[in-house]
Amino acid sequence: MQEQYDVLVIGAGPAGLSAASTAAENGLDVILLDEQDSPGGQIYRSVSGKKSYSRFLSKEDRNDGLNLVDRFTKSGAVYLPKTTVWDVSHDGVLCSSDGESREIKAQYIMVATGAMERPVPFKGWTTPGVMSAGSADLLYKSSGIVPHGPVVLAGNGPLIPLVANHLNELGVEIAGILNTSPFQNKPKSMLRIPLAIADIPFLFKGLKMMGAMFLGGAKQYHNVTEIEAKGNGQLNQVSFVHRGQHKTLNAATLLVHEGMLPRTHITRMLNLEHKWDRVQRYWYAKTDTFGRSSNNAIYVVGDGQKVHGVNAATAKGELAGIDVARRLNVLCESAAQLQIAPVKRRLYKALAPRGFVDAFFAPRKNLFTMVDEVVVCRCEGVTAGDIRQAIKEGCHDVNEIKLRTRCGMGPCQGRMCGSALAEITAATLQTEVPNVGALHIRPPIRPVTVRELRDFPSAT
Amino acid sequence: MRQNFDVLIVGGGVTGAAVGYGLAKKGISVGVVDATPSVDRASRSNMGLIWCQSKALGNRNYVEWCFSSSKLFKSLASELKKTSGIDIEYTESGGLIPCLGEEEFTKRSDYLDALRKEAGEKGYPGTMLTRDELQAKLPNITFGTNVTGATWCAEDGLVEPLKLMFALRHGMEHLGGTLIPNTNVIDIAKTESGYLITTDDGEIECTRLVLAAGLGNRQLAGKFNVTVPVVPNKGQVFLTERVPDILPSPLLGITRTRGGTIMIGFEHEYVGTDTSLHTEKFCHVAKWATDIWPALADLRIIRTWSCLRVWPKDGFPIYDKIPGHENAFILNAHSAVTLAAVHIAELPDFIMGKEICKTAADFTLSRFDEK
Amino acid sequence: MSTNISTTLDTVTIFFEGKSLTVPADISVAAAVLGPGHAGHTGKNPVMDDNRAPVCLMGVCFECMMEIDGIPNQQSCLITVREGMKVKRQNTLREKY
Ligand SMILES: Cc1cc2nc3c(=O)[nH]c(=O)nc-3n(C[C@H](O)[C@H](O)[C@H](O)COP(=O)(O)OP(=O)(O)OC[C@H]3O[C@@H](n4cnc5c(N)ncnc54)[C@H](O)[C@@H]3O)c2cc1C
Ligand SMILES: Cc1cc2nc3c(=O)[nH]c(=O)nc-3n(C[C@H](O)[C@H](O)[C@H](O)COP(=O)(O)OP(=O)(O)OC[C@H]3O[C@@H](n4cnc5c(N)ncnc54)[C@H](O)[C@@H]3O)c2cc1C
Ligand code: FES
Repeated sequence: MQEQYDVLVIGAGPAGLSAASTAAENGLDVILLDEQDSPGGQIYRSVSGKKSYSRFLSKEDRNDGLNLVDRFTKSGAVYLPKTTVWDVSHDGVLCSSDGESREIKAQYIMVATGAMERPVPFKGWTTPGVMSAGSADLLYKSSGIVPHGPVVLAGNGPLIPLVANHLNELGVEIAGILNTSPFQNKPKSMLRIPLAIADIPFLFKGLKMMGAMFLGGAKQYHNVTEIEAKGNGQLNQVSFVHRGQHKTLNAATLLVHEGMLPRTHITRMLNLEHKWDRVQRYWYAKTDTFGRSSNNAIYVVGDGQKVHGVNAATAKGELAGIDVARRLNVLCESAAQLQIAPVKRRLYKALAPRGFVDAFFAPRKNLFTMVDEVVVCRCEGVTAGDIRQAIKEGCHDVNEIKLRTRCGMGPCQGRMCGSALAEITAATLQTEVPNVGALHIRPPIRPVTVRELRDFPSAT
Repeated sequence: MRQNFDVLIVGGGVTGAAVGYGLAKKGISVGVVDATPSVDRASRSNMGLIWCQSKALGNRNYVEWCFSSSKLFKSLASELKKTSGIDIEYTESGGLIPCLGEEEFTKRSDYLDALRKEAGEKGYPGTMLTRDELQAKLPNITFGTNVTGATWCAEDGLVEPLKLMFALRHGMEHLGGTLIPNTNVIDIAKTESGYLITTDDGEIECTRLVLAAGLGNRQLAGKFNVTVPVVPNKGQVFLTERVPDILPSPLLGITRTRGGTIMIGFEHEYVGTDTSLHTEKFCHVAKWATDIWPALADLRIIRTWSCLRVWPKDGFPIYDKIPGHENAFILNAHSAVTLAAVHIAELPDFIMGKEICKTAADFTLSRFDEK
Repeated sequence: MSTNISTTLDTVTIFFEGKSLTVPADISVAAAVLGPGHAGHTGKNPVMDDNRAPVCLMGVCFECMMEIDGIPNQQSCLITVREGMKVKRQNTLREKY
């Protein structure tokens, strides 16, 4: 039996939920697939669960999340949780759930897979106890569990104050906050403040967070370099250089954060046209305002397209939902325009402070200048030195370096090392990242068993 | 300054690198120019089998050519370790072709008999194993109920193909050759003393020119108004998570790498230069693989790729002078991993002006004209 | 034991390295072993043979792979606990195949 829908949405975060709801409300047959067990995406993880874990969201955020989920539930769209999409083509996806794979077809596909934190290798980052700051956020949101203290937070980006604040509220000992931003971004970003004023509540929240963190009393160190996670098989110390001095903090958990990237495995597997963001230093799928990509049948929406935050993600999802309804003729042009106008206004309002935020939290220049012994590819144990050696031997394309060193060949399929590999290569060759190629992405983007392929319905 | 070589090889895949290595070993000034490959990825995507058995009935020379290469691999591996510092992970594993059902067993058995008959008194190293004998050879594997046995040949083997390619390149450089990577050959012109090669990064001069660019040879030979009868032939491979060392000898189509992953794939398709992956094909291969070894079903596939073989139309290599040119050559081969050792041993002298050895004398371009 | 008991209970009991562990019914295996289980690490890297533990909790890093009910290499951050589930640290190479 062939499953066929008008629209298939991948990802039940704010973008995917609003895209699916909008399309379904306009009368389309919609299915939404997500690998989590409940809708909400990363910010609203487990928001509708019976537990009160989501108390870590502010009341407004929690309400927004619940409203999104509620709207989606009523929209009539089909929801498949715990379902991982591992291959996508222009007219359908292959997905896996409970150890079984199947194909679902659709006229239009919307990729709403969200963002991930930028993985930045440093000495000792493979040590258990080192986690991304966002993972701590997900841990208490989805399970009410907090990381073991003392906790050190390190890096640069809006998640650091957010997580520090929450941990502080929860009574977790914070041994220190290591800010890796050398303030180089600050004067430039100040220029963008006037636009940011359009979204005063947003800024206010950010400032309040930083204020609270300060009041919380955690010791902050600015312009920190040479962070190293120490411990034999388990983290026990974090060392770093601050104002020219080597310092050490005892820590059971080190939470690192160096900004966000769109998750591009699906869009790159589809060979969509991508662009390089020079400020935030990431690849993103090129789309129009409605999320239409270079492939006629594929939309890319939300933070998985460009990291613009939750309000923009929601608006982008809605615009895509309206657009697809218009293209499938369930919505006439004039009615579509009526729906579009207010959403566009919301989108522009949400985007207004982005220039400021992006510049303020832009990745610092020396982010990838790690010493040779630092492990870059965690899966295959490939070091920065191995990569530099391969470049010296004549491999000037990241795919060629991958073949030479195995960097990016492990189970994570280059998700954790891809950015670093490209940045190190570009720096070594004294060129820009777009000139060194991008890792080829092929299905399955998530491991599937041989059995799943063998028993695949169309295999006969 | 324009670079100048006695021999310039276009293509740094396993064919070009092997010949470059062989020439450098002889102290000849050699350069290998290699583009960052787009479709020509065979040397970067193959299974690394040194495969001799059960092929090419009716072409005794090719059979001998393969076996002679296999015999050279052991010493090549230790030599490359010295010259390049890279372990190509050569294993004298032998090789097996599993048979599903009685009919396939009989067919395989008949084919081996025919090869043996053709070999005459020289003998043929392949034999048939019954299911019990196969089980004794691979005691840690529980075979599917339909497995009837296998062919076995001790002279087949295994290398890490990426390491082989890089080892040949570095070995060549270590011996005085020059690798010019990330450079695309755009044009070729005959000069009084040799050839002038235009690349996207300047010009190169050489006395002798070797085209070993895989499928890229088709465009390059066009510069000489020569058609090279090679076609793309697509293969898909999938790679699983790591398993312990339970498969010491590869089953044709199911190989365990030294790193522990299992590579599965054997499909051949003629679909032009389309390298998109087709899940239906994988389903088919997954069914075949688990029929042979049911426990494979639990393994997770972590990567897949598809790639184009460089397939001369009759399946046999092409080593020839470009018509009308004493010093320009065309090299194309499928199974160029298997043949790498014999390529190193035999092709440099041919490039330098000697007659090619008798076994390889039929692998001409002109054989395609006659048909 | 029925597999969907967890939906009617607020806690479930799983076995981590043979020891029983009572945990909230709707959390991921990774959260269960990191929090209540005090696991520290969830496995070893097959190449470097060093201890590893979850990094992202959202399916990106593959450092949370564990053996769950006899099947190795499961991303424990994407799997919800179930009553009676047997969870083991991932060893360097799978012992079973
Ligand atoms: C760890 C983390 C924590 C964050 N916390 C906050 C916060 O507290 N406050 C804040 O303002 N912003 C936060 N953000 C940013 C916020 O997530 C985004 O702005 C917003 O959620 C983007 O929404 P989205 O719909 O584009 O993507 P997401 O919310 O990320 O949703 C994407 C969904 O796609 C699913 N998915 C991905 N790949 C597949 C696949 N192959 N198959 C099936 N499903 C798939 C994921 O499971 C996920 O549910 C956080 C981001 C991250 C990464
Ligand atoms: C799936 C699969 C499995 C296989 N398994 C085996 C096996 O187990 N054992 C075996 O023996 N064989 C195997 N083969 C076959 C083997 O891989 C090929 O015979 C071999 O790789 C061919 O090597 P080559 O150097 O001739 O060509 P290629 O690998 O195609 O190399 C050609 C090189 O030339 C370069 N080039 C092209 N055009 C230009 C230009 N204009 N300028 C500069 N450079 C250029 C390319 O960048 C490339 O690097 C397999 C093939 C496939 C596809
Ligand atoms: S913790 Fe990163 S994939 Fe599970």
